[in-house]
Amino acid sequence: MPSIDPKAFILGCSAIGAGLAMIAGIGPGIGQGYAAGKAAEAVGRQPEAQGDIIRTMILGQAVAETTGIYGLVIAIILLFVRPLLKAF
Amino acid sequence: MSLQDNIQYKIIKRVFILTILIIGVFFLVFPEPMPYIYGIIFGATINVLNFRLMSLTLEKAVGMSNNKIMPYVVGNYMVRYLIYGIVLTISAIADYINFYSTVLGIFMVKTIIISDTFYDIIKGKKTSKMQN
Repeated sequence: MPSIDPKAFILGCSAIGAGLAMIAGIGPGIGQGYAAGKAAEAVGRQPEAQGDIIRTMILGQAVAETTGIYGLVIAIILLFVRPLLKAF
Repeated sequence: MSLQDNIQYKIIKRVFILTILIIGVFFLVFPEPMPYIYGIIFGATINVLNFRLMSLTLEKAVGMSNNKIMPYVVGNYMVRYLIYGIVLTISAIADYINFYSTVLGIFMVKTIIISDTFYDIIKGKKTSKMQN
């Protein structure tokens, strides 16, 4: 049985880890859609408060979006910076 | 919250000021600051543009019918996510851009929104000192 090159093994595991980290990007997308839907309902009920609702939603969604970027940053680090390979 | 009126303009202005301050710190701390400066300018610019894109998307989404909102907002989120991915990949590959300062630039709008409370406290203290 041929032995596995350790560097190739680390790179493979890093790629799997990057793929798993990208799962984090799904949640904020669904959350943003849900929040926008609820904001539209709120505007329908109380049209005079539209400015306040949109303002609050924009601030909340700008913060929520960054949680997805954390996963993206981890994936890019694993794929391109390759810290585990440098440690090896 | 001091961000209540005209939030987009205020956030973009504060991001610009904070970026300038961080660039000044980079000049003082690092012997060769240019890759760090390119990184933070690159990240902060893309973050501000994506924030503006998100604001336009949400303003449009609020007026749409309920069953169309979800696919529209999620689709736009995926486009912004792809843009962030391209930016981070470029900064990871290119030698003349520092990756970690790009990441710092990408989180600039979030930093501004969270630090708004501290900004209010500092501003409140200054106002009370002036009144006294």
